[in-house]
Amino acid sequence: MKKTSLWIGAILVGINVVIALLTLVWLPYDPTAMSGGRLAAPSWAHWAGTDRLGRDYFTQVMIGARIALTVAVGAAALGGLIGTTLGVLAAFAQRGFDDALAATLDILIAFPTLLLAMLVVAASDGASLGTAILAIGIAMSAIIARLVRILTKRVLAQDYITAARCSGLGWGRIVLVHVLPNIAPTVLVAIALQFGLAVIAEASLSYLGLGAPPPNASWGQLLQSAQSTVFNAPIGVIAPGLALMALVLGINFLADGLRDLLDPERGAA
Amino acid sequence: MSLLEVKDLRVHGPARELVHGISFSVEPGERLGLVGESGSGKSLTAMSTVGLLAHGLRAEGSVLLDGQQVIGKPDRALVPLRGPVAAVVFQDPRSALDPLMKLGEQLAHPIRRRAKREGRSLSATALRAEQLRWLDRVSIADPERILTSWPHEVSGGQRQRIAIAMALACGPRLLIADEPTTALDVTTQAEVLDLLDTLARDEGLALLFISHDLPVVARITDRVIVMQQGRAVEEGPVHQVFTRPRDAYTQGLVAAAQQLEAAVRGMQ
Repeated sequence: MKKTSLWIGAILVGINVVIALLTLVWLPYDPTAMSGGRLAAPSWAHWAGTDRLGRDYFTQVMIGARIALTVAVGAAALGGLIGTTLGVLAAFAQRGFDDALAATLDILIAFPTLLLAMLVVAASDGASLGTAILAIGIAMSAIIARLVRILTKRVLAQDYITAARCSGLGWGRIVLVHVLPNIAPTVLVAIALQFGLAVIAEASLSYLGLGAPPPNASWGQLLQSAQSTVFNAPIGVIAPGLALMALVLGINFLADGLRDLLDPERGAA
Repeated sequence: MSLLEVKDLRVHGPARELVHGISFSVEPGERLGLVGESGSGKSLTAMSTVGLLAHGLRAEGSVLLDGQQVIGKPDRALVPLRGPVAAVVFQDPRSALDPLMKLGEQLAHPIRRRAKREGRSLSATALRAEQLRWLDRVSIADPERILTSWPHEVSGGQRQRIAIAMALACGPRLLIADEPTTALDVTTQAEVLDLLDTLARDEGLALLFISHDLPVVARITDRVIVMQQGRAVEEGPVHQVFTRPRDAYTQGLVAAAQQLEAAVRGMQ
């Protein structure tokens, strides 16, 4: 069962990754060219039909996978990096800094990601892939930082840390040699779970027009533009919706499978 | 010069004082026992001497470790003192080793640091020889297999031996043993005590031995300090303290130990 969820997750995410990479070198149609009739139904030539302007819809959904993964990977990397750094610092910090950081993180976690994204967009030149990554990454870093802080404190309370200090190991080396390897499994699973949320957050942002601008449209934006024609051409909503669902479901399965794999106690139970 | 000289050491917790002014000294090669019930401040006292108090605890007074003041020094200044001067062995062998690092690698760390400190270069073969030598010193059978094992694959007694090997590999002159046998079963306990006894003699180590177990302390130390609620209530040669205790608390402890022994004998 554990292995099954890992495999389902790996396959769903794998398909998305392959499609995303494929769009870099090959596309069935030019995403901006009129290649068929307007709002055509799915056919062999156009697997997901065409949109209002007669552009191939499957091509756009494929590009959407690339955007979704780019934002999610970028946000996860940014959030993981900032979160881990802050969390480890907070675990080491004196009470004052620790409390201030904890309060900031709580506020950040309570703050809606969408609002944060609007602030980031307002503060920069306008919505782009970068602002989406930044906004989602910051929101994610708060959750990771809180987790890392607790995990680090728990590791630091272990005797082997005191023993290592007593044998003359400095704090920097202790973090690298003992702390990071011991918190890594849990943090990686948390990041993997956040990864799924990042994909949804990206879709929500671009649905509201705060994500990557066209023509490199993400699924959120496809959903939004297909909204007005949902009764004439339901495929316009179904295709990006299914793609989004498959990717998020795949990521969550993969994260669950990873957790079982990395946590031997849970796996044995 | 004393290896460790503690004068009027006080340890403050967040709300109150936990150790109320304790003074003692350890000469090179001497074995001192710190005895007392849980919460009597014996571990706090020992950890203060190497500046390893937990977050939120603060030490006051004077601790001279190898002639250098420990109290009030930033952690960075203490790192070079630890290892070559003092090393620690802990109570719980489960948490004394990093669960995600193979035993050989853990043992390699103090060996490498010591070589670096002494300006020696250490080849892979020399490192392996050192690792095997230390495992041999702590009487571990099948050291080759142990080197490539994970901590969860070996027994508690073996883990404690490896922890001792790691502490000694730093080349300390003072070994602080914080209840090193409490978490072990009786047979293993005796083996580990014998081992500590032999190693301390062979290496000419001073020993600061912390325990609540009177027979264990009597067996391994020369001199003993009895602590109760953060104060030293009695101090003297181990023989004298345990045969003719002056303080009421020590008398109680000794009587309890004797009663237990008598009860055990009665069962036999």
